[in-house]
Amino acid sequence: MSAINKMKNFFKVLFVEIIFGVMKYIYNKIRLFAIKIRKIVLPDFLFDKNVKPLSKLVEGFLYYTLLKQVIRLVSFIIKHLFPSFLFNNTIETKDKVLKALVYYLILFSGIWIIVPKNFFSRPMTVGERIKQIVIYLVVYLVLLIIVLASIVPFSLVLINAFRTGLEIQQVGLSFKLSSDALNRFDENWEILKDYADIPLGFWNSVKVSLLTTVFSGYVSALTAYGFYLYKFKHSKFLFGFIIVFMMVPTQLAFIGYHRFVTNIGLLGTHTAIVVPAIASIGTVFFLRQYASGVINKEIVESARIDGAGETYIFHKIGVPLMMPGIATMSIFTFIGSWNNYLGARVLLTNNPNKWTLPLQIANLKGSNVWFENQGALYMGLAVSIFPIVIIFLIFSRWLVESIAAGAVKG
Amino acid sequence: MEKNYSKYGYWYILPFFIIFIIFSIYPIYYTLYLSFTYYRGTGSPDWVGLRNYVWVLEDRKFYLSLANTIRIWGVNIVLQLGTALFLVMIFSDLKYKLKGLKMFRIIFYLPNLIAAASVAILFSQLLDKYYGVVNTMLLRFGIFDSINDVIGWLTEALYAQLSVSLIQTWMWFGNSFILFMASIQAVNKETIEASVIDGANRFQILTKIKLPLIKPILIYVGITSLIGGLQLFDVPYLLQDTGHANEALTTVIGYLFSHFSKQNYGYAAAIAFVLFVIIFIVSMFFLLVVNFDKVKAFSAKRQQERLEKKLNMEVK
Repeated sequence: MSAINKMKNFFKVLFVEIIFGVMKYIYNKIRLFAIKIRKIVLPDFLFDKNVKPLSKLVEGFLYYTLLKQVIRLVSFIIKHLFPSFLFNNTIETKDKVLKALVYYLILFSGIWIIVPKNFFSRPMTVGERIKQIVIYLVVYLVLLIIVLASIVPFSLVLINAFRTGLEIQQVGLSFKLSSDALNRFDENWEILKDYADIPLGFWNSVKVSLLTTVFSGYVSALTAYGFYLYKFKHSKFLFGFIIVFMMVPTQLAFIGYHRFVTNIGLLGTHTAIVVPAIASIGTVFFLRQYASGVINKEIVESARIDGAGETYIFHKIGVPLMMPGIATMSIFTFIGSWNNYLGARVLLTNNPNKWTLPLQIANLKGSNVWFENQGALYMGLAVSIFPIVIIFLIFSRWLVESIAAGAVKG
Repeated sequence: MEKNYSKYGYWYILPFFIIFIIFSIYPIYYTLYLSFTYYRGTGSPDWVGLRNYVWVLEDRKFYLSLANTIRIWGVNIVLQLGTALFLVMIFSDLKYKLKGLKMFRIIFYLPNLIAAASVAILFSQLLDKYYGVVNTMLLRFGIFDSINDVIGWLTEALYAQLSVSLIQTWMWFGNSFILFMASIQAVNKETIEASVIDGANRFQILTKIKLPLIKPILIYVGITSLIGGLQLFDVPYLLQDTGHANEALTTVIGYLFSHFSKQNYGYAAAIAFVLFVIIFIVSMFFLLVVNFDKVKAFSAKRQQERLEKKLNMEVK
């Protein structure tokens, strides 16, 4: 009996213990989850004793509105976006969703930009906070105007390529596209074809810019390496000689160059425009500075002891080490060459088969495209502008840093 | 066993110098030679001595084009440096701690990427008197009452020059901003923080600390902008034919180019060299101003050396 009772009691206790244990475990989990949620949802300052109650109220309100927007966005997406994949929703809803997404994107990026990092955690009086917000708003308004001024022309070029000339003349500054914008795009392309051979111009520009970039990069690297590594006779004099020519606006001599090129029969060829750009003093100067930072003379010395030839050392050690510098300067060379107008105007005008994009674009001036089919004109502009912009945006951080580095050194 | 490697250096710099001498220095020399000749592209150039230069210096149109260039550059540089400095003031303010500087730098640099030819074509569309976006918007906002009193941005002389200045500003302020910002950031923040603690206000910090700190780069931007500005060509040249303010938009290179197109090579070369001399003098003058302290210090040092020499002589 007693044994059975003991067993019964034991199981009773075990049962109760297990149930309580599980309940306790679940409770703990919930509690932890709640704390986590609270940390996510509620800002710290609500539990900060140093913050004044009124301030708490204002900030709490700000935070609450922000949160509400987030919840609205999430629920909106769930409501509208997901069914649109499951069921066949009308186009209107999709438009609505897109509009809402754009709206929220702007809203949140705006909040991300405007609100400083420590906005929600720093105790501050209401007056201070309001003053701060006003100052931020004014500063960012001014910034917004400048940003718009630098971006709007780009977006106009892009959007106007999808419009007819009449539309462009009527709408002014607007970013709405008509329903058959894609057809307009095709039409503009057809019109543009009659006035300028854009694919040919594009190919010519690519050819000229790439050749200039590659040759200029290689020759400049060679020269910079030579000046840095070898202490030959007159090396200082020769380097000083080309530095002096940095101050000289060599492109002013285009008359002499034009006559010279005519005399040797290279007028109207790409050679005439590529070759002088190969000897770029700025690139040599930059790479000379760069080489002194990255190439260790001892490495070269040890490579020599191992029996490597000089050209081998240059290609296997010098070029890889200087590559970041060469690449940076190459992109600037490419941009400069792509945008070169005066040189192309002087040297290539007589040979329309060799025209680069700037010449093609400038040639649209005064033609029918100019007065009636501006859409086609904008299309041509877009073709000439956006390759460069895309290249720049890909390497932007790098390039901007190198421009800035020039300032610190100079 | 020591081998002398230094002679290899010549092989490395040889390609550069061959190209540089043939394709850069020889054309300069040839331009100089042509400027002393009368040459219309056929036959051989006739030597006329300094006649071209005398004509250039008596040419009213040359002075007009020079004045146009300087006027356009002057307005441009004031606006450009003003905008860039204002942005630097905002972004370097310790109290605001604005975010997104990297993004803004990229955005502000974008206009500098477009070919000047494309810029000119784009803006001649945007600034057109009757259907350009700018006038359309100004009409819509009610700044002009009717289509009859809109401004011809490219057809009236003064407005045309102002437009070119504004376009140049639009293209270059981002570049100046990046340069200024970099030189400000290279400076120790503690200097400015200390001055804030000492009770300096914003204006004092700007004029007493920030501006002196970025003075070298300010002058650098000024010089390069002036050298570039005197060679201004693409934008005003391509804006010319569309509007009717052709004379006001003729820059020196534009004027030179018109003679070049008429195959008046000798005269064009003379204009090029006069411009060249102007640029040279101006940049030398600026360099002298920049290094004025150094020059002063140098001359003072030499004077002191001389004095010491004299004293030594007397002692001997």
